[in-house]
Order: sequence, then C-alpha cells, then structure tokens
Amino acid sequence: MEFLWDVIRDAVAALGDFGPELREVLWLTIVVSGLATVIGVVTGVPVGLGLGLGRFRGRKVALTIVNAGMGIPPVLAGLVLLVVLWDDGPLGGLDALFTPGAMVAAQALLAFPIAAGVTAAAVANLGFDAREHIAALGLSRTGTAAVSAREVWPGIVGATAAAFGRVVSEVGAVLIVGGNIRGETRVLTTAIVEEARQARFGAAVGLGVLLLVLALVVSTVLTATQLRRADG
Amino acid sequence: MRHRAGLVLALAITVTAAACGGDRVVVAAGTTVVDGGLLDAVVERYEAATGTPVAVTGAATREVLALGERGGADFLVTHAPAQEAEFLVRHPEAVSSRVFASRFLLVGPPERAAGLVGLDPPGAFATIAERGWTFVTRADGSGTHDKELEIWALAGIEPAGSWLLSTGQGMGLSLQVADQRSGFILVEEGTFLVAQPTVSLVPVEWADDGALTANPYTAIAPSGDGAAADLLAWMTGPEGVAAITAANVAAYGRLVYVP
Repeated sequence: MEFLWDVIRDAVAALGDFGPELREVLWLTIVVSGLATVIGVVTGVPVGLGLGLGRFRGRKVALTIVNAGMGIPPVLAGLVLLVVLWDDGPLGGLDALFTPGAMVAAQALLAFPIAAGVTAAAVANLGFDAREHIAALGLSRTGTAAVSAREVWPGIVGATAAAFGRVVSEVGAVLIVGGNIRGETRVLTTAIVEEARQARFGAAVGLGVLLLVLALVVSTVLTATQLRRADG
Repeated sequence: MRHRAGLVLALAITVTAAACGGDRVVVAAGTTVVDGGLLDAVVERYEAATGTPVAVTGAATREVLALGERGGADFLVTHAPAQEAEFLVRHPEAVSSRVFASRFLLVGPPERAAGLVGLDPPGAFATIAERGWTFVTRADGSGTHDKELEIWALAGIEPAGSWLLSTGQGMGLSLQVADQRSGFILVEEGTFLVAQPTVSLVPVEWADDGALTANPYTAIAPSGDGAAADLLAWMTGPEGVAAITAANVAAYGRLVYVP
C-alpha cells in the first residue's frame, strides 16, 4: 500500500510542477493527434458516405476492408511507415522518419478507416423514409451525399470522436516512427512508456491523468456539438 | 447453470495461477543484452538443462534495479557499476557476480566518424559537441547512459543544445534514430553488431585502451536464495560459461560478451 501512496503523491507532484517540457509534450500530442484526426476525417467521411450510400460492385469488399482497418494494430501501421520512410525505403528521400510529420501520417492511417467505417454505418442506418425523402429531392450524387451527411451529422461527429480517441491513446505507431525524441517527437503516450520503463511511476501516472483529461475535454466538446445538432 | 459458472471460474483461476508460474524465474536485464538476443539464448540452455522456466524482459538498468527492489523480477542483469553498488548496499541479502563484459563503441556517419580517428573518448565527445554534430543520447538511466555521462564529465562538457537528441528509449530504437538522423551514439558492441546490416553508421576508430569503454555486466539475485540463486550459480559455473560462449559464437562468430 505504501508503494501506491508514493506513486499517487509523486503523480500529484509531477502534475503540480507543470513545466515547459510537459507543456511542449501536451502541445505536440494535441497537434499530432488533432491533425491526424482532421486528415482521417476529411478523407474518411467522403469514403464512408460513398460506401454507405453507393450501390456498386466491390462495395462489400471495400466495406469489409474498411471495417477490418478499424482494428489495425497501431504498431503495424507504424511498422509499415517505418519501412516506407527508412532511408533506403521508397519514400526515404523525404527524410521524414523520426519527425512529427511521420507521426501524423501514421496516426492518420489509423484514423481514416474509423472515420470511413463509422460514417458508412451511420448513413447505412438512415431510415427508409429519410432515404425516400432525399431521393425525392432529385439531387446529383454529390448533392445526395451532402444532404445525407447533414442527416447523419451526429454520426460523423461520433466518428471524429472515435478517431481522435483512438489516435491520441495509441503508443505503438508514434513510438516506432517518432522515436520519442525529447523536445521533438515526444508525446504523452510515449512519455508514459519512458517514465514507466525508468521506474518513475509517479510521473507516468501523472502523464496518464493528463492524457485522460485531454481525451475528456475533446470528447466533451464533440458531444456538445453532437447534441446541439441532434436536438436542434 | 450456477454450478457450471462456478466451475468455469475455478478453471479460469487455476489456469491463470498456472500461467503466472510458481517456479518461474523472471529475469530483468539491460536492453543491450536483450535487444541483441544474447540473454535469451543463454537462459534457453538453462531451461533445457534444469526444466526451470525463465522469462526475460529488457529495461534500462534503473528500472531493472527498481523491479528487483519491488519484487517484480527475481534475477537482474545490469551494467551500471555505481547503481549496482548502491543497490547492494541497500540489499545486503542479495548475491551478485560479474557474468560477462562487452565494450562500448562510438558509432556515427562515415564521413564524420573519419574526423574523429585517433582521439580518445573524451576528445571525440568534445569534438562532436564543438562542431554541433548530432548526438543521440539514451537519457534513460541505463548503464549506457551512465557511461555517456562519465565520458562527458571527463571531457568537461555539460551536454546540451539542439544537436543533442534524447530518446529515453532502449538501445535498439535509439540506434535507429541515430542512423536515420545521421548522428553519433554510444552503443554497446553486441547490439551494434546485430543492427549493423541495417544501419549506415560505422564505429569511430578512437584511441581506446579498453579501460573507459569496458562494459561489465553484473547478475544479481536480490533474494539471495531460491531459484534465482541457483540460476546465478549456474551462470557463473562451467555450464553457464559454456552457454555464454556458445551463444556468442552462434550470434557473432566470436566472443563479444566475454564471460
């Protein structure tokens, strides 16, 4: 028990002296995971709308792939990018390995299938009445997609929240392609791994609390958006 | 139904208890001997010879010692003499012994490494700092990090600046970062030899009398008895030495971790 109290006391102390280094880590976490979520949502939602509304050959296969992609292990996404971005790899010339850019790319790979999959499920669940109603408007395909997107707005916000929650909490991908370099590529999750590995459990728990608070704040904002649209 | 649920629960508890293993020896060791695979090869022989299951996990020396302190590991392999001495003072019941030694290398991009030929370790470090060449530091309380700090102190330099990349990670990942960012890194020889085919870094041919760059490993059985003490006795005995030698030859074709 004494050990547990020590850890809690150290965690409070670590959070209490919220220095510039911790601020930097928190800021990079928000920027990397935020950008990755935006990229994932901007590309994934249209794909999801197409998969949910469209009737075309290969739709089933595409949906299966997207749904499977929702469960892709982060370390695998990181590994793929590591090989691609390695100096001798196909995109080695970009010199992007162990930079925040590589971390954004890795997390966007994880966010994309979630944004696409959740959106596809949301529009596929539109009721028959709603579909008939939209079809009666006689819009172009893009127009139909836009109106449907408005209809399932809470679902899209939910997809965004799910994507952000997924990427902000993963450690495998950002550790492999980011390298946890202090002041450059260190984010909350990789910092937690580092602190735990070095037996500074209090600091690790403190960072964990910070990560939870961040996830909670983002989720609160998104849920408020979701409810406003749903109620209004 | 109730009975069946109880049965399933009892079964689950039994299986979990078995998996947690009563007699299993948990070994925590520096990432330098785990990332390269040496320790796994050695304990495999011990398992085969005695039937005692052994699990190896890699961590920085500071965490290895903390694990030993908290009872999270039964057997420790570390390579930071100062931290080890402190641990042994706090735990007089522990038994320990030197098991093998490798050495540290300074590796870096070929063109720049050529510029450091013939310097002694502090001199080479000082030149890197002066020129602002990228240097990757483990910064993780590992034996390797202790050695980095020792050499910086001898050079009279407090390392800081944008040229210093601090990973806080194990030997393998830190070496990858050094390679891809074209930096220098102090690396334990065995880990470097395993990674060498995939990285473009080369060892600096520095003036090395072997004293400063020696990397002795100590095995510690914190409890001082039981399965961990048996493993320690085996590892330092003739069978252990033979196993260490064979693991070296299999992995490197020569002795890198000298028993």
